Amino acid sequence: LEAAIQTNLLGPFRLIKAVAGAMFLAGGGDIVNISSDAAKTPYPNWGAYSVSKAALDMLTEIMALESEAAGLRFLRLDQGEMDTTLHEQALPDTEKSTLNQPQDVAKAFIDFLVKRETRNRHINLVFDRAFGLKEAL
Amino acid sequence: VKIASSYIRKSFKKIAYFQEGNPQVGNINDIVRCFKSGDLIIVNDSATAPMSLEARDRFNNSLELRLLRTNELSNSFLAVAFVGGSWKVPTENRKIIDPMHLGERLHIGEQVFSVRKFGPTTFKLCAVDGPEFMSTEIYRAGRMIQYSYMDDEVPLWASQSIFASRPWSSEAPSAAFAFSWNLIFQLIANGVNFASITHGAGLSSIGHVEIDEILPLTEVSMVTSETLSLIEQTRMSGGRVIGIGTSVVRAVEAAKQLNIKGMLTNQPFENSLRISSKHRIDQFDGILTGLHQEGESHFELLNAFASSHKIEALLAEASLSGCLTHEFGDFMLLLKD
Repeated sequence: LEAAIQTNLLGPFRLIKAVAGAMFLAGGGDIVNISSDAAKTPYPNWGAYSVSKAALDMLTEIMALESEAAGLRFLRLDQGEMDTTLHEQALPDTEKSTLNQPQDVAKAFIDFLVKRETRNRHINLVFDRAFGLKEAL
Repeated sequence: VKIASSYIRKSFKKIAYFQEGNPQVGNINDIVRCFKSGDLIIVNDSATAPMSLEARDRFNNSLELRLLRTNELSNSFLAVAFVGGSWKVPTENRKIIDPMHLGERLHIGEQVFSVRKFGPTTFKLCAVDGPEFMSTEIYRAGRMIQYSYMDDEVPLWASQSIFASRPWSSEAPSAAFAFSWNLIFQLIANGVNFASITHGAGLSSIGHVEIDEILPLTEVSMVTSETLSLIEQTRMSGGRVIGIGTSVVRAVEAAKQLNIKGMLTNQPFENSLRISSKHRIDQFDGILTGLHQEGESHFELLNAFASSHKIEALLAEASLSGCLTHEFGDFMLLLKD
């Protein structure tokens, strides 16, 4: 659990603190935290990971509220289950055709960032193979 | 004024300033009242790099190198080497090695450096190979340059201001420590604007006469034309420009001189400008800085904002109110009359 909290919560927290001041001086910017379905839905044996991602989600929401005046925008991205080496190691029996391709998620995500359609300071994004990238509540 | 010997503040930071001509000391957040909508605050966004490195010479002696200046382009740096003693020993009581006795090679971690004599006690180190050394290896192998009056070793994070980005400084641009996010948000809400410059603050003294004579070395500044135009717009619309720390004033005043000559580019430049009481500062209406005392290198620059007499009155009030001085101490705000 400590290792998961270090990686998924303290790492992003310290990195955000390190760059937020410079981003404010540059006129603002987007901070994207990579989340997971496991932050919202409990899966047996995924406790450490889920707890760390749920904490990261809350950190994202709080920082979005706190830093509005600094011109920072916070995004939470749940990219779904992706066809990656990590996924292969964690769940080797998954049928690959059901997984999202990282390049599809990345492209949809970059398109979203470039368009800047929404003016919300906290944005919750979920990638779904059928519907693509959608802003969720 | 007593020296701050801890980097962790257990109470609010304080600031000494003039209110209706009278010196007074308050909570740092009180300065919100001293600013008005349309004022511009300029900060130094330099980060402070860990410029103290442990090295081994050809006899396998352990040395502490302090980097006086780094040069990214030539992958070299100027350094002095202490042998024996720890950071708790004041540097004037530590032995500095003559570079002639170092041999031709020094080892820092896995890296090998060639030694070239620069001055009587200073030398230039060049990476023998490994062009990545400057940025990565300094952060991997280095520690912050320590001050012997501190209770505990100062970690890297404690020497960074909220604004820290480019790692150009050996000594923290510590006036920026005045700012918490809370204070920044209060100022923004009141219509105060922020802009930045970058200035790499080098070591201002090392406690050895021969070396201190050449310090501080020429430092590197970067001031964009955007920041200069913000200053101009602010002043034209009746706002005031406040520099956060002496490095900001030096960088902007030097940039303005270059700009007049048509030589300012949006690139780093060598800054050897010294500001004395005779210098006419025309880009700033005030300065927020540490509690510098007479005899310190920064004091003369403050005389360009206020007379010694006024500063002394402020320092006396600060001392009575239990303010602390040096890197992790309290602050003063000087506005031009």
